[in-house]
Amino acid sequence: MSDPESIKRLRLIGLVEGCTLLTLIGVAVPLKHIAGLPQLVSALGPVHGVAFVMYLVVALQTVAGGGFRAGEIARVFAVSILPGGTFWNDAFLKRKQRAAEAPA
Amino acid sequence: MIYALLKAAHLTAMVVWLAGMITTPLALSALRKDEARRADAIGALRERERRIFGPAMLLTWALGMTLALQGGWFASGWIWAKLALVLLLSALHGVTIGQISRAARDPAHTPPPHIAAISGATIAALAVIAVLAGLKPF
Repeated sequence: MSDPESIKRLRLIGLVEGCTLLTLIGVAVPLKHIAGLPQLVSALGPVHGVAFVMYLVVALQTVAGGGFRAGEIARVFAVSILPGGTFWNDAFLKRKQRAAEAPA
Repeated sequence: MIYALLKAAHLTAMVVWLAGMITTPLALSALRKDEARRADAIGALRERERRIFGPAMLLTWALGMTLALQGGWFASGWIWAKLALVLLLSALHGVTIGQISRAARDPAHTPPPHIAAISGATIAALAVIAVLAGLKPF
C-alpha cells in the first residue's frame, strides 16, 4: 500500500510543475517569439527546471514506497512531460491517496 | 554572497535529511523484534518523516538544483554522478517511508531484515558525494 503523505506531496508538486510548464509554453514562449521579449523565458525556464526535477524525485520516492503497478508508475512519470498532464493525473493520485488513507 | 548562503542552507538541509536516512532504517530494524513498542515508535517515525526528513529532502534538492544552475555545474561530469547517487538515496528514502506507512496500517507488518542496509548505503553514498563535490574530479 502506498504512503498517503507521499502521494499528497506528489500532487502538490505536480500542480506547481504543471503551472510552471503551462505558463512557460502558454505565456513566456509566445512573448519571446511574437513580442520579442525573452526575459520571461529566461526567468521562468530555470524555475520550471527545478519544479520538473522535484516532481521526478518525489514521483520516484513515492513509487519506491510500493503500492503502484508498472502501468501506474509509467503514467506518473509520463504526465510530467505533457502540458497539463499533472492536472489530468491529479484525480488518479487523489483516488490513490484516499485508498491509502482508508483503514486496512 | 548569495551563492555561499544557498550552499550553507543546502548543506544544512542535506545533513538533516541524511540524519534521517541513517537513523530511521536502523530504528525500523530494531523494531522488528520489539512488537510491544512498535506501534508507538512507528507513529513517532512517521511524524518525524512528515515534519523533518521529508521537507529536508525537498529543500536539499531545490537548493542543490539552484546552486548547480547558478554555478553552471551541469557542464561538469561530477555533478551527474552526484545526481545519480542522490536519486538513489531519494528512492531508498521512498522504500523507508513505504515500510513506515505499511507498519502504520498493519501492526502485524514486520520491516524486512535488509532494511538496516539502507543506513550503510546512505553512509557510503555520502562519502562518495563528499569526494565528488569537494574535489570535482571530472
